[in-house]
Amino acid sequence: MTFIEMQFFVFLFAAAVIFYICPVKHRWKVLLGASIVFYAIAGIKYLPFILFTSFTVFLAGRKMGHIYEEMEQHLLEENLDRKAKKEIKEQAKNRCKKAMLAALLCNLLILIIVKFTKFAVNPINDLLTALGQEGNFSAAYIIVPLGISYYTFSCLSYLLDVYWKREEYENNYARFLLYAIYFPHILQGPIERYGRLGKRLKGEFLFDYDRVCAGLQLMVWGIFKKLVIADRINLFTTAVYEKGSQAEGLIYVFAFFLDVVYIYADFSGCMDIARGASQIFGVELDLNFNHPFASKSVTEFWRRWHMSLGSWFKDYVYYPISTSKFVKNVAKSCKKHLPDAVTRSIVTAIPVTVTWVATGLWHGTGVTYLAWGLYYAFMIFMSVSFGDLFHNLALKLKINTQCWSYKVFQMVRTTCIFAGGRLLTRPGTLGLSWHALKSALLQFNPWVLTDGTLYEFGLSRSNFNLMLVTVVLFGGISILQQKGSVRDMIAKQNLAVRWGIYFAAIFSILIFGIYGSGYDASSFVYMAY
Amino acid sequence: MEELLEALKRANGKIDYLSSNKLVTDKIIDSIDITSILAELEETFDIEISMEYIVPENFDSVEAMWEMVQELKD
Repeated sequence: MTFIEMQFFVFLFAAAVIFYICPVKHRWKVLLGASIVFYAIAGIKYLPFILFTSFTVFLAGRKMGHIYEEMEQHLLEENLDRKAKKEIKEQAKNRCKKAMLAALLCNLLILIIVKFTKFAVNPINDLLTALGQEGNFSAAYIIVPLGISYYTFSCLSYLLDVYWKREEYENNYARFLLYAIYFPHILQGPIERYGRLGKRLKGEFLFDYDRVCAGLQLMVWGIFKKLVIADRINLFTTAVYEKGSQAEGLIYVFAFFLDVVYIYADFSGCMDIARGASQIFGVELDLNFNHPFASKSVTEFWRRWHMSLGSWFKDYVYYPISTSKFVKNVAKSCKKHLPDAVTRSIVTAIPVTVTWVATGLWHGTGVTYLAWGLYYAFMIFMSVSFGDLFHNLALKLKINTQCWSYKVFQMVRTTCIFAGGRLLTRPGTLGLSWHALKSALLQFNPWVLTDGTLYEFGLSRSNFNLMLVTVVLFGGISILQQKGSVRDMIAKQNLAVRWGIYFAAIFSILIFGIYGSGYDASSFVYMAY
Repeated sequence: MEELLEALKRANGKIDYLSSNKLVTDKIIDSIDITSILAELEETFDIEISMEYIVPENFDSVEAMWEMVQELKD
């Protein structure tokens, strides 16, 4: 069951009715029950995985919490000198480290096995065949639990936060399980921290008509983005990038930029549905997108795009690596032999590269994703290391960097960098990516705009024009959203206008949404991760 | 405090650290600045800043960083 199936809306309605019928103090149990049912409908065979991860992390967290409590008790004892206190702290830390590592490693191992085995099947079969054995492993038998990347990362953030004493441990497994399996964020995130979502899931859960309406409106906007905008663009880009496609030149340029809109509409649409569904129950989910295409640099872009993933990698991969003994030793030895600026660049490059390669491999396990990770590591390294140089160069050339046209240039540049990243993974292989880029740059064929060629790739002329209209509408609404809440703006209008907008949105989805046999409208891109 | 301001300048001289009490929250300093600040603070004050101290509240202002350094020196 995904967010745009009728089954989901029936489920959501039933869950909301039971939730608000129940006494307030039991409402969190309804959410837990509903989340387990949601997960079981997706596949009962997946349940043991999420139960295992949540239970092992819960146990490790509780164990660490008890050790730290004991430590605090010891530290209160009188007559302890500084050395004795330090020893007590170190002993506690070491005991916690064992519990943390046990839970961390076994859950990471599960994630790695599940994500990488699929890609290892062919090499394993080839190896067995070469050794004279029958190589008949099939990727079809590998179970990939729903949302495994999301719930594993959420649970591990809790585990590490308790270990680093940033978070209080949870004493109630059912409460912790609700945090891990909470159905609005299980499919595609956001990757929530226990400190925030855990507290919200312990809230009052009182019925609020305005909040429920706001949640429903957000869901409608999310469904519109997915079915009307993203899925329509996907028909075009899929046809352009498919094997044997006759696309060339300008067609590829269209595909590059439309694919950017596609991934944004698809993923942010899913997030809107998730946040809207959660608002119905009175639980706010973290914002995962904050107008990323208004970013003026690639570093800013990644603070605004898939924010929960970027923040996760920053807190649990980037900082631990940049503060590790290894990086400190590298810095020390570089300082002896190299100028400060070079040392700084090397010390920046190590954690940035590891973090971005890991981010790439989180998205997918092929060579294309490795290239994607290295691409962003390089872009961010360049932005950090040479940002000042570019800025000074602009000053020397007397370029006004404060005017609106320069800011637009920066936004277009950031969008092009993002489109470059998508180009590495979207066509499927690096060879196809190279072919598309080469054709876009070298083949000049503006006549495709008028001779009908543009409409030979998945979309008829009317559908293509409709797609352009919806893309412009999407851009316009995004600009409005930066000035304030569009939902509030609509709420201030008269009844007829308000309901006119709501009906127009719903009927647009029904009339212009992409449906039909053989077309799987329900697959969100980020669900695959 | 002077020593701290000098260390911060070495980490990134372009930032006016005294301009805000929400340096991290308001995105005046980013993760790359924080790692440079960590390295300078560790070297200047001969301390080790472990992960539990790397939270926005400890880097949001010069005063917060100073308090963290004092705590780690004790």
